[in-house]
Amino acid sequence: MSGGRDPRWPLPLASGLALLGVWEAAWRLGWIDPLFFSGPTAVAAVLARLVATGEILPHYASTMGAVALGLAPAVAAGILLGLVYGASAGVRRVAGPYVAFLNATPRVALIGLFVVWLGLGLGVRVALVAISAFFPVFFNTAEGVRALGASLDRVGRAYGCTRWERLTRILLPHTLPYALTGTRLAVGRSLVVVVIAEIFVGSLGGVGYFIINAGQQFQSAHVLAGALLMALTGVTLTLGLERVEAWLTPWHPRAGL
Amino acid sequence: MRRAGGFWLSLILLLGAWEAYVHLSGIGAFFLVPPSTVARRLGEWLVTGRLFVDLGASLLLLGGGLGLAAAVAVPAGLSVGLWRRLEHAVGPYLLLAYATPAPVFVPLLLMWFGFTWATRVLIVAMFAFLPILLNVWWGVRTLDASWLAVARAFGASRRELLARVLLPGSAGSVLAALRIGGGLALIGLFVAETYGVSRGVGYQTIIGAKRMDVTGMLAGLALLGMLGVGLELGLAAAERRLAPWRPTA
Repeated sequence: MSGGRDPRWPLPLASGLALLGVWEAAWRLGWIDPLFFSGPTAVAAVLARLVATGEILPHYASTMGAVALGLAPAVAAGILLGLVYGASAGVRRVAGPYVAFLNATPRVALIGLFVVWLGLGLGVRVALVAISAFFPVFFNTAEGVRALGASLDRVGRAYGCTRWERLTRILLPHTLPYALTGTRLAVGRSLVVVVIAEIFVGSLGGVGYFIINAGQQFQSAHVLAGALLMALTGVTLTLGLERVEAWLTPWHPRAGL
Repeated sequence: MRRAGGFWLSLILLLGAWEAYVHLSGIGAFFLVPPSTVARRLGEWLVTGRLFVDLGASLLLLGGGLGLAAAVAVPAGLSVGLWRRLEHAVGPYLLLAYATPAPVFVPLLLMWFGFTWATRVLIVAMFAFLPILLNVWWGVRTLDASWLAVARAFGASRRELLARVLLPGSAGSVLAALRIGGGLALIGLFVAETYGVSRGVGYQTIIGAKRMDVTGMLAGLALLGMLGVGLELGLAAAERRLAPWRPTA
């Protein structure tokens, strides 16, 4: 903003490199017990090897498959029901307390019920991802509808728009950025619960299982490599979806950074 | 009041439908039990005092974890929000860390501290920490710049600006951040009570799952839900009291 180069990058770059440098130095100097922690280059090397030998790939495919299968119906249902919930005060009055209760209950606790109902297969993770991903999409979409308020709708009416035109030209474009934000939050939530499910029910496989398994054998570098893989996935998906949001809804103002 | 009446009516209808479905469909108790059976189990826990043991243990863990997270994350979030240079230095890393699924660090905590209460508090705190920090930070950033301009125009010193404008102005977003953190701390509570405990509402759900005891699972879930609703209502009430000018969702 204040002339010339963006002043925001050198400082974070320097602080990040300094942190990594100190961490690596502590590792090289032998201050870190490899049983409990590891160094940055060591972790990166382990992750590279796990990927190169393909050892972690089936786990990763299993985790991301469950996320994809659970996320798709959750986003669709979240947008549809969110539109209804946001548009109808009657629905909000009746369903509101249940929505609040379900939202306040940690959905991961449903894992036991899902195991009983669905068995120890992929279904448990898919169901858990679906129910966890649903709420952020649902709430954000409903919030978008409510934020529209009556005035724009009235403008539409005044200009003689049909119901269909008001829906497709006013309500949906207005709600889209909210639904997309909800979807981005849902992706983050999905990655969290899928890992919890895999840690909790060991026989499911996946990166969470890989991590807890490595932890039980005190292979710190493997634990951190698995964590790094999920971190990279989370960051990539979050940043990617932010780009998609900016591209699809360029008119919507966004917080800086 | 009319609202509350409609809610109770729909609740009775819903529970009645569930009860009727279980009896009429002849579904096995292995898969689903009627709400009356769950209520009976809750009643047993209440009579034997088990309910209070579990709720007490969970509240202690939740309070410890959420308290620890808030004690560090609120000042940190305020600092990052108020101090531009710090924000530039650490902001991108906080966002990176936020995109990382927190449970991947559970095995590390277990390796470091074993199956201890400290580990469980840290697990709860870890789930709530970054959401609180980030929401406080964003809340401070969205403070109306005109407030600052007015205060400066009236000759407020830096200290006055902080004590009279920035901190009171942030109270609302701090409480909102705690509400978000509270919800995530409950997920952390469930994860934490998986490991080496014998009491707690999450534990009841988990032991129910391990024994394939649907009644115990549902009773535990009901308690977890009540804990969640109680936490949410408590923090929402605090928000209304301490920051009454904020619109509540």
